[in-house]
Amino acid sequence: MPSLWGMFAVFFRTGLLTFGGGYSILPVLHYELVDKRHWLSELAFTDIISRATAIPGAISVSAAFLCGRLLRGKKGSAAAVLGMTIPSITTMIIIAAFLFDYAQHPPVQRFMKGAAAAVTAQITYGVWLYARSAVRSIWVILAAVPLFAGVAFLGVHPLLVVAASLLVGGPLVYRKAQLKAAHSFGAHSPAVPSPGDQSPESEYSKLME
Amino acid sequence: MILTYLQLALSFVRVSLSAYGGGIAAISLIRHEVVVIRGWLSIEEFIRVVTLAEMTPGPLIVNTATFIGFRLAGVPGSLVATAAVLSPALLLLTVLLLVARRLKSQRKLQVPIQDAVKPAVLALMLMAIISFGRHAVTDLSTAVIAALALLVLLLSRRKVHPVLVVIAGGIAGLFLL
Repeated sequence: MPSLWGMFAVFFRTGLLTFGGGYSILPVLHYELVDKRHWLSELAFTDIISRATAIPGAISVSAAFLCGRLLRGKKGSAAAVLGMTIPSITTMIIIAAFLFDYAQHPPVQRFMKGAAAAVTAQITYGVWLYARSAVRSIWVILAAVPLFAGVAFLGVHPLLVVAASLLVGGPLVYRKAQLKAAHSFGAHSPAVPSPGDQSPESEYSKLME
Repeated sequence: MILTYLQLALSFVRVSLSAYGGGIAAISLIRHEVVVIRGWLSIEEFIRVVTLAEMTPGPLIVNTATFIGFRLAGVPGSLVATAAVLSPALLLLTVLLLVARRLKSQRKLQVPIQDAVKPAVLALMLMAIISFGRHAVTDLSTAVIAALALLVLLLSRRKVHPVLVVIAGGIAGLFLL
């Protein structure tokens, strides 16, 4: 288990090395926490990103909060959020105070335009990382299509999209779990997993197969 | 002065509560608060601030809030604006975690919630790619940079820190754009 200071340092670095905010942080977080340090499993990472997206606010900070909470409880979430935000607050104050005009120079602008194009790729790659682990069934994609159409073309509020997904999908997944449980444990068993089957991974794959 | 702090806090709490899909989605909300409602910045100044916030490390929402807070009320102002834009989400998450702990005894409810939210998350993510990409990929050169960057990220997984790809994109921009 990581130390509080170690966690602060990792999130500080992540905050310092992420541009563009939002989903561009996913590849960096995945690299630091899943690939390099193995602090989080692929499944825990996916779950954290789901939650950070489902509520409004800065995704990267919400994700840091949830990672910290999962790894080291309340103190961990404080360390992660501080690590994530201190670099940007400090650099932004320094720039606002001294360097605002310098940032308008054409070479700086050209560098930033190129970097922004690469950040688009970084965001796309972040979504791919999420989708790869979250899409275990064709139904996830089939359900995402109308939701995306609603939010992109009809101007539906994102909160309504999240609510619709939960209210329509929730009972369906629940029903499927019950059918599955009835099938495997006999008709009278409730839809509770057996004691040896507590990990979310096994339960998850059982539901979506 | 106190009034400025209160207005800053109120504006950024409002932004935070409807900011879905990360930074880019929040920008139009912040513009509405800062340019239209409060008149703190002109639209030209605002665009300069956003460009700057995009090129500064860290979350876009935090950067913009810090900058505008600093412009209006110095370092305390920047801290007030940043705290205001972050606290609603963190409070909401704390409440959700408490609810999730209650549900822990009933795993049969927890897993359907985790799975059922995924289509919505994917839809919001696709939306975020489009709204960011629309501003960043505007011509052939930026499209080529983006495509190459994506290729490198996909092929070099676990070996290359993603920020190196972004810096490479910036250097390419220096020469190509």
